[in-house]
Order: sequence, then structure tokens, then C-alpha cells
Amino acid sequence: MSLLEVRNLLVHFPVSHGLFSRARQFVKAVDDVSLHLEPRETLGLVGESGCGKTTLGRAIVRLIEPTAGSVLFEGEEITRLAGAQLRARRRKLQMIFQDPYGSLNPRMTAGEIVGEAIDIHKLADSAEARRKRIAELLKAVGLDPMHALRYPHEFSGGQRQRIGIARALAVEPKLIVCDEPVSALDVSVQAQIVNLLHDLQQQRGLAYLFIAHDLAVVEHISRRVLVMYLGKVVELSGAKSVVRAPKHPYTQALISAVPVVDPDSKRQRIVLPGDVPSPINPPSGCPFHPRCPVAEARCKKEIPALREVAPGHWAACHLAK
Amino acid sequence: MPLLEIKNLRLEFGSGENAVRAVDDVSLSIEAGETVCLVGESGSGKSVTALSIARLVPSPPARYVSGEIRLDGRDVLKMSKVELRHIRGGVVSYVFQEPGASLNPVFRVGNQIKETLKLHKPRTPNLSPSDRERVAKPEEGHSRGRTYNEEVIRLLKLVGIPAPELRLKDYPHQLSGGMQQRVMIAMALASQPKLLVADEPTTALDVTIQAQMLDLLRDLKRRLGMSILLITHSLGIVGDIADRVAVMYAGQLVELAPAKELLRRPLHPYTQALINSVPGLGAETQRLRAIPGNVPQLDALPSGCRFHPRCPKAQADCSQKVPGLIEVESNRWVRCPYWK
Repeated sequence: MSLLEVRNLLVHFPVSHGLFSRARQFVKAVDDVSLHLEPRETLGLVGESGCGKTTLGRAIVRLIEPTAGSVLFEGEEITRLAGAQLRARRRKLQMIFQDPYGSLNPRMTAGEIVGEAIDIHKLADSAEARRKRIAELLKAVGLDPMHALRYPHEFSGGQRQRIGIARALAVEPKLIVCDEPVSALDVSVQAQIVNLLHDLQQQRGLAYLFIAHDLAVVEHISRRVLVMYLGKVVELSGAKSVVRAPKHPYTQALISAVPVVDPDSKRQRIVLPGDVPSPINPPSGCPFHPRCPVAEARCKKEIPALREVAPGHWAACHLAK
Repeated sequence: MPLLEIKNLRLEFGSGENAVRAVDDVSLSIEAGETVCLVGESGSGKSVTALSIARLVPSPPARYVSGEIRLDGRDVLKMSKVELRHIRGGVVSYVFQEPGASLNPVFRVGNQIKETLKLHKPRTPNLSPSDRERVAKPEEGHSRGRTYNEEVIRLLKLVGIPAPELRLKDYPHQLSGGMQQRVMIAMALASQPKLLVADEPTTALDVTIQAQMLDLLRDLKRRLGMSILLITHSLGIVGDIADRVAVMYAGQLVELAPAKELLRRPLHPYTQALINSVPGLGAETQRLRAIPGNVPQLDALPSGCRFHPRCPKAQADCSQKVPGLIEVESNRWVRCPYWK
């Protein structure tokens, strides 16, 4: 049984054009996405801004209510849970946010931030046990337990992200949705956090849904990678095969656009024309066809289904081989 | 003579004992038509160095302690306000990281570009002959406003904005991030600068848009023959666009070299660590080689070499002796006595 299984998930946001007018249009932020995640696995989720990757991550944790579709966590449907049941489920399902500055309460010390999670789920039966547990968690993420008394502004960006990770770990989750956890950090600190997440996964048997736009980082940390474009999954395969042999033209362009350090690299860059279209009125047929270098006539009409083009390699493109 | 020559620039914030030296002994030159990348992490002083080229760091609180900034043959630090106003835009233009924050939200983008044109009374465009044919030049006898409009359209075309006649009536929020950055570049080019300083111009943009933007900068440099100083934290961008690179750490230049040579064979331990800590696309790496510790705060700098607490090759005397920038090979400068 998969740890997480998402079936045909839809998240649509209504767009209203005034206070009293009824919403007639919808932003299809997540449009019919299915995925599954095994225990101890990392699934990378890549895409450009506005492709719906964050919305998908939040809908899975139910910070955003899905419009339709189902999310099964350990076989249990969680889209219909409420109250105490939902809270109990959430213990197994945590999230780390992008902005380590914005996601920590500036008026709480690091110890209080981590301790709040312990209190809500009643994981410590005495004040002593609670203190010990906070110290353990801070140590696990590479902070000095003495730092429990400090406020977020006294930490550097990397250390703040460590507090966010400690808070997520406090309730012993099985799955952590990491929403761009290293994007806001300096290059030299990014590697520290990626290594930390990797070590914690080994030690605690965590599964990650790792959302990022940096393909190199995603490839490094993930076993499988899912590529999104305009709310839809366009490609899904093992991390190495997505990067080395991408099947979808969008993924090919995305990978070729990543600047590489190696000055002798002979890569041919595919520069896509134009911008990502508005998800309110996505193009007909294949949503990528207006920017696609190889689009044909039928791409304008028929929506390509996600199909297995090679063993274990899925792509949503009429022309993928 | 180089277009820009910064010599031993020292810049402090605050005064007396609390003074924080954000830029310490930075020397850098840019030739006409050259692209130089300034690489560093947050707090390394790269933006402040770039802003001081047009003396844009307000003083106070900043204090230019010593050094020289020779732009187009004249020292910026000795210029009067009138002269400064002339070189800002006239010789050097800036493009910043957040295009959304740099554009005025309540004016149409066309008018914002026009404002630059009015301020700088454009000389004849320094375009290549082919461009001159392609882009219709304003004809004699038109009213001033009309001419400005045509110049705005020409600029928007130059930076690759489709249907510029319509776009110039847009407000910034109606444009995507990539389009906003193109407008910023058009505005920077309006005054026909000799040097374009781009401070992390692609950081806020997606990779596919970033690729478009780097292509645009390369193309503009070739067509207009200007120099570019590009500030970035991404070494990938360096490999993509730069002729030469300057690496900064904690307010100092630690390595200066031709871009390809630096990426192939970095000499300073910090540059080496920085290159190693980035995962390569498609590379087999089990574990990232992270640099331990954090970037030092400028008010609590380590003694001796500023990188020594994080340096894997640090020797006993690194914590005492302040290393100087030495030319170890022709055109290769390194601030580390143990670079071998």
C-alpha cells in the first residue's frame, strides 16, 4: 500500500469580477493530478511559478481544500476528514515552508515554536519530558539546545530553516511536504539543508514530497520526479531518466535552460518563446502547444493523456516516444 | 583605458567603533564591451560595490573611506551633484532584481520609459547599421511627443516585447515578471549607457524566462557594444554569459579570473567550495559537499583571513595574517597564500 495516493485531484479557485458578481471563471491551479508516494521515498515536484506545485502540496496537507478528487493517506481518505480526526491525521503529515523568515512567529522563541507542536498533539506528559524532547529535536537538526531560548531574528536564514524542520519533526510525521525549502537560502547553506533532509530521511524513515524549481537540487534528492505545467502533470519518471532522457518537450526545454557551471558543456539550449499562459483560460488541446517547438495540428485540439512512453516513464505528449 | 576602474574601494556604514566595512579594498576594472560577473552570497558586498559605481549608496549612512572609482576617465567619488546626475543613466544604468518593485505601479510603462528619455535627451542611437534599417528612425518634423513614443516603441522592440504599440499603454501589473524585467532593461537602455549594471536580474524569474533574459543581454551587448556588470549568486549564469568573474566574500574580492578558467580550475578555497556545493544536473553525487558554518556578519568578522573558520585548507597562521590579493598567473588574482 502506498503511503500517499492522490487520485484525480482538482483545485479550482473562482475568479470574481467585482463584489456582487458571481464567479464565472476559474483558475485551474491543479487540474486532474494523480500521484503516489511510497514510504521512505522522495518524490520531486518541479515546475515554473504558477504551475500549481505549491497548491498541490498544500491541498495534500489540506491547507487548501481540494475541489474534487481524493487523497488517500495510508489508505484512508483524508479529503472528508474534519475536526479531531483531521488533526490526528495531520500529525503524520507535516510541511516545511519556503520562507524561513515568514513562517516562524517572531514573538516566540525557537523552543516555544517547536514546543507548540508537541503541546497541540499532547506528545509530552511532563514539563521535563517536553524540555528534553525540544532539546533532542534541536540537536537532530544541527542546532545547539541552548538556542531554544533565542528568537527567530537571532538566527541566520539556514538556522531558521532548521527550526522549521525541527517543528515539522516534533510530531513524528511520516510524510513531509517540503515547499521550496532551500530556495531562499545562500548557495553554501543550501547544501547543508539538503544534506540534513537526506540524513533525517535515513534516520527516521521519512517520505518527502519535495517541491522546488531548481532541477539540480530536485534531481539530487529525489528518487522520482514529477514535472507540472499549468496545473497538469506533463512528465513522471525516475529522477535520472527525467534529467538525462526527458520525453516531454517542456521538460527538455526546462532542463536545457538550467545554466551549468561546466564551461565546456556542449549542451544545446532550447529557449522557449513567451510566458506561461494564464491558467484561467489555458490554451486548447495540449496546454503547452503555443510554446512548443515541435507542436503539430492535433496538439491544438486534442488534450494529450499521460501515457507510459517507456517502462516507468510517463509523459503527456502526443509526440513523445 | 578601461571603461570602469575601481581602485582599492573601501566603504563603511556607521561611524567610529561601530563602523561596519561593507566593501574592503575592492579593485575591479571593466573594459568596453566586456561582461564581468560579480559573484557572492548575501552580505558579501557585491550589490554595494555595484551601487557605488554611480555613487548610489546614500552617504550618510555610508562613508566612502578611500579609493577611486574611475568611470569613463573621471573619478565618480569627486563628482558634483550635476555631474553625477549626468553619469547616472548617461554612462551607467541599472537593472534590479525585483522588476515589480522597481516599476512605479501607477504609471503606464510607456510613460515610465519616456521619462528616462526626457531626462537624458537621447543622442543618435548607437545601433548597428542593420538595426537602423530594421527599426524605423523617428522622422523629422514630428512633434516631440510623437518622437518620444516612437523611441519607446523602438526600445520595447529592441528588448523583444511583442506588440509594443499596445504594451506601452499597460500598467506594470498587467505584465508578467519576464516582461516587466524587459521593460526595466528598455528603460535602462533608453539613455544609451556605456555600462549596464544588472543586479541579480534573473533571480526572481523562472528558469525558462531566465534563459530568455540571458540571451537578450548577450544579444544587446553584441548589438549595442556596451559593457555589462552582472551580479549573481549563481555560478551557472557565470558559465553562461561572463568574460571575467570576480568572487566576493565578506566584503573582499577573493578571486578574479577569466570566467572559463575560473570554472575549470578555481584557485581560492572559497570558490572551490562554492562550486562543489552546487549539485550538478545529471551528475552522480551521493552527498553534497556543503560549506560548514554561515557567512560571517560584517560586524563580527573573523580575524586574519575572513574565510578561515570555514576553510578546509586553513593553516595555523590563517587566523592571524590578513592575506592580500596576489596575481598568481597572468590575469588570475587570488586572495590566499595557500592557493597551490
